[in-house]
Amino acid sequence: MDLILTLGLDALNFALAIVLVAMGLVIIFGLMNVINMAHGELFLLGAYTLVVVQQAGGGFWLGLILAPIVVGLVGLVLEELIIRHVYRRFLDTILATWGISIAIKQAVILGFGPASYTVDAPLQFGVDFLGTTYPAYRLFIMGVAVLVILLTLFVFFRTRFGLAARGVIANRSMAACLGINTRRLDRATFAFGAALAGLAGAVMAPQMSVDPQMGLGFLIPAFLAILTGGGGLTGTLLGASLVGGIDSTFAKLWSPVLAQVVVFAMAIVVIRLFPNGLLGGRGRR
Amino acid sequence: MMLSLDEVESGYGSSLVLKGVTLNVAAGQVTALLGRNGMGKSTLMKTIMGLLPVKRGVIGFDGAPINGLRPDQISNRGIAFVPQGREIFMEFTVEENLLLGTLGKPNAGWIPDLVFTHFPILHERRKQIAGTMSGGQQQQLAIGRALAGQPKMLLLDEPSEGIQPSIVEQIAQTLRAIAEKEKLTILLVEQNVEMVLDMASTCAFIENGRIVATHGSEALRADERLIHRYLGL
Repeated sequence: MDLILTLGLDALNFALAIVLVAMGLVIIFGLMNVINMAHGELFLLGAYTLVVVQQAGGGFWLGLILAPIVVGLVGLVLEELIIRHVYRRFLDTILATWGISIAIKQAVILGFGPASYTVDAPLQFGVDFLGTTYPAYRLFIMGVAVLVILLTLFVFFRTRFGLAARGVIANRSMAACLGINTRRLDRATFAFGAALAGLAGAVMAPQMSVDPQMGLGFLIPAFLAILTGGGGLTGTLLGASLVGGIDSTFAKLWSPVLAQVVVFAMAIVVIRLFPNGLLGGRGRR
Repeated sequence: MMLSLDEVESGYGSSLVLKGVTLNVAAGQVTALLGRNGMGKSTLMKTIMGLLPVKRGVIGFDGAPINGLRPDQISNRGIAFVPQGREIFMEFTVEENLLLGTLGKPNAGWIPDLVFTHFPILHERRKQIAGTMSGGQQQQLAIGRALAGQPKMLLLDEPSEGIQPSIVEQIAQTLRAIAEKEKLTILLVEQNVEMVLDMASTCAFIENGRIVATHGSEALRADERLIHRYLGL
């Protein structure tokens, strides 16, 4: 019983962590049709922001607040300098963001070296939960993910900014003809997506080793979640549950390697049967 | 003049569709643009709106040039566009569609009363998903959405397209009432000659990317051969 509960919580934890990373990707792709290959490196920058803050003597919480702000600003600069010049050239956006990802990774190696850092984690205690003890920090991660999901829903479905953004997603040129500044919206959305990646990086940092390769470890499951789910918000939630659930369950019961194999096999089968993802098209918005 | 085009050239890629259009639209009046298919009517609308680049010439609106501006800037200067095919946001509610028309304007987030005065059905159906309404209702929504931004001028591209005749008559009446009451300037592209003669005070005829003639509606009603000459009916 304990095992099942722990398995369930671990699966939920990993799934929500994937959602946290995938959310920014989905928003940027939905609005601007840009597949942001540098998303993993924005995640990485969030984690390193936390490292820098802690080295400077600031606490974890300060780092957690600064990470999305710093990475959001990085996103703003990237959009202005590079991304906006390749909009509507789909393949070029992949190449450009891939280039950005390599540049950021190398810059981090130059600045911090290739070795890994550990971050002091707060909330170092267990919480009794239905008769089993579960690490408090993991519950905190889940809470942050749920908060981010709710915040995103609120922004997109309850604010003027969200209405304008959905209008641009549905019909960009008509939205512009109605007086919506699509340029400003693109900039704000890219920064928002980047800030989410930065937040995810800082939140996940205490759980993993902070090194220049850490971005990839979350980017791949995030992409798989979007792909199998079919994109959109609901599709991503579904895909993340699938990928996260399978991965963490197999990793715990057998081995992480087998888990990877099963996840990829699942993704191949899903995409073979549902080329547009499980919710393909219907899950968008 | 509310809107004036001077020797405007425009088109898609390297091909010119408008080859020097000169056209004046008087303030507070309904001006119609007539011509056969492929003569450049929709291209002219898109060019005014900033969706297509002006390659030569000047477009002036309300005393200042607007060519080179982005569509959102042109819209916020006071030109509202009702495009061919309506381009309603199908999955959004009626209310959300109308609100989208206000977002760049001083009345952002607030739908002015005149929208519901002229189109009461939009108030009735404001929670309905736009895509589930009939073609005529969607056309009213497209016009209402344009009015929601309290524009000085309305560009209407084929408002009668794909709508049953009885509703066309009703929409024409409403448009006339709006033009009179709100002192709106309207540029209308329309194939339906009856609707045009009903609404417009001036008709301009476009042929091969140029304005070839301009007549008052009175003259056109008096002599039907004039219309047939340019439309080849």
